[in-house]
Amino acid sequence: MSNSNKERFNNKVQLITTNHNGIVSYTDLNLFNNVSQGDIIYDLHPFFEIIKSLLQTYTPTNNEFSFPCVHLTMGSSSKERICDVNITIELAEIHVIIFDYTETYQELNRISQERNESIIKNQELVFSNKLLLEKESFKNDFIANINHEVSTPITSIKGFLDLLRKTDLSYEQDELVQIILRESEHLERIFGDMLDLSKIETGSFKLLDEPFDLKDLIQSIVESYKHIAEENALEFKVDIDTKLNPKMIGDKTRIYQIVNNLLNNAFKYTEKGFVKFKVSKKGGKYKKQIVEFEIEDSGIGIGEENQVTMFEAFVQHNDKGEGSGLGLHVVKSLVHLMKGTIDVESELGKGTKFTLDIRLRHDIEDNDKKESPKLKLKLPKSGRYRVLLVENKRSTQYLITRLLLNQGCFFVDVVSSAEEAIKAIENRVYDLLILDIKLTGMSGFDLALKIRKEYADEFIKDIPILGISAIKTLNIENMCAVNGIDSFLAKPFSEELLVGKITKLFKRKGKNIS
Amino acid sequence: MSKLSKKIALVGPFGVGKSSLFRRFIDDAFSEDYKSTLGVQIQKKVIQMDNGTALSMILWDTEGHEEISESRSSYLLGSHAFIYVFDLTRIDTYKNINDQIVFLKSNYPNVLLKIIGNKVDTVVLKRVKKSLKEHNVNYDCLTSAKTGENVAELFVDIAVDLTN
Ligand SMILES: Nc1nc2c(ncn2[C@@H]2O[C@H](COP(=O)(O)OP(=O)(O)OP(=O)(O)O)[C@@H](O)[C@H]2O)c(=O)[nH]1
Ligand SMILES: [Mg+2]
Repeated sequence: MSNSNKERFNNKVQLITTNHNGIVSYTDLNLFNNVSQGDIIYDLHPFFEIIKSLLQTYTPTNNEFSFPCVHLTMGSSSKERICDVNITIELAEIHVIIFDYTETYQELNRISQERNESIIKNQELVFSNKLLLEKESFKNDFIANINHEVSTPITSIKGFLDLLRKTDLSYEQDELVQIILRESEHLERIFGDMLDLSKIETGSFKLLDEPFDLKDLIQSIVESYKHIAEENALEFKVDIDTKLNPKMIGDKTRIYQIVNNLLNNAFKYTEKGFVKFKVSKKGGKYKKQIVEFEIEDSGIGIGEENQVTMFEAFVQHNDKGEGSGLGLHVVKSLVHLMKGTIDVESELGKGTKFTLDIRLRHDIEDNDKKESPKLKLKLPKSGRYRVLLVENKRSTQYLITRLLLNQGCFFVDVVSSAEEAIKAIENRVYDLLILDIKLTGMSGFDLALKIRKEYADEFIKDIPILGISAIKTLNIENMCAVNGIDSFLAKPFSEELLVGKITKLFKRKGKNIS
Repeated sequence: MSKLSKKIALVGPFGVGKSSLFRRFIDDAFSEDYKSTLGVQIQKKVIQMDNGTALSMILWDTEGHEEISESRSSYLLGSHAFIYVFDLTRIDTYKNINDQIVFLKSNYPNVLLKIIGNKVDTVVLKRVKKSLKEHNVNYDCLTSAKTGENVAELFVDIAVDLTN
């Protein structure tokens, strides 16, 4: 070995010799230089305590032990080294050879760390997903049910109140009825907010992507607040940018909800002065347009300390004590879903201004669309797609059949139970199964699962399935996916929606689409 | 006076919190960061037993492996107790735990074995217990290195078992 090699080697290896009591009789100082003759090796590092048990078990032929990758420090000043340690026990002596592989091991560590982290992430995801799904689906079902349970009676309360108002009421009675009416509407809004929020939180909230007329929307908002302004003797300043492109794609109802919520607050918290509503085009490239809404009032204002938290759930900053405290939270969440921003400027006693930027797409194909709402499906060789409709409600059977026949490219067979459906698919090749989930007898889910699991013939087991139902639970789409249903459509639906779903489904399943 | 010393090895899949339990016990500290252990770290903690004896617990915090049979046998050699740790938040760390136990019991029949479910602070107990039952997991205790729950108790238990 050349000198320099030897040196390099020596730098990496240390030999310590002890007697059977662990007293050091020899050591070099290549790695740990605070070891000296007479030291007790067990005190150098707790690792060496292993020698005690080796001493009890070793035999003359089994007297060499190696411990790879041990982290060692000796004395408080020495740095940690990652070493392989060989221990050889002889009749009178114990030789401990320490090889320093710190650098190599550190590199290895980096690799195993990465590997472990990614595996752990995956496993945790699986676990927490499962947990979340269970928790969420319970919560969501609960909220959806409650919402349904509550909205029905509220609707009838409101209906009866309307009737009541048409009877001969004294002035005072009429006032009271109006209050009850307002409160019911309020209650209705709270439940609406709750449902929206729970959907947003679970990510099951879907913004519509539909063409709409922005100017019409703004106009209808303005109209409805004109009266309120008059009633409250407030000035309602309206300023609508003429450069706004009216043909947009987005979720009209939700934009209405956002703006309505802010205007509603503005009027509620303004005693005298004005409410200003300004809409302007703020830029945006090519197909995009940023629309800016400003809602300003000369009302009670919001203190600085509250401006930060006002968008959080269950926060209210007024003594009027109205509202669920969800409204602004919903607004903010919706704005974020639309990839927009919302800001507030306010001064206590002076007023509040909300500035809202929402990104919308131009409806460039506006004209094409109006002319041909028809489905753009390329016909199969047979000339038409064959659809099996499994639906037990007469009215829905009729409706869907009509809608499909209108397209001119479907044959429709109709059965009203899963049992009949099984017979049908075993006898005939279908391009699509439209399946009501709530059937009497075997359910739609069970049928779909059976089709996916029990059949070997491709034309049965891979048949595209579109689930339909009036069930409104939030995770219905998940349930469908789990049960092998490819796509889901909630009742009631329009012709466009039905055809759109089928087109998308065919595209996904690789059917010919022009 | 011969000082009593016992080797206790922490074993189990990676990321389950072996090093965190080790650290909680030795330094009464915890970190959210994951630094995967390579090889083995050894530390000693002397605890004073009720009966007056001092016990040196030599703790071997080993690197994690999905299968205990992949662990380096020299790390397990000479152990007086094993703490087999699994992660309550990851089914993969306990679904095959009985195979691991069989391996340890047959290869190290005289070594005390404690089965520990860690990270109890992060789970819904009722649900996790159901899952443990489904996978036939018999554990000795559920711990949290983060909050310290049951950690000292676990080591003291072992100390008592080892000195009796
Ligand atoms: N919430 C919580 N996190 C924990 C607990 N114990 C450990 N962790 C975290 O889990 C991760 C892994 O912990 P470690 O102690 O490094 O796991 P390990 O078993 O030593 O992992 P390897 O050394 O790779 O085998 C770290 O991010 C810890 O912060 C616990 O009781 N509760
Ligand atoms: Mg570790």
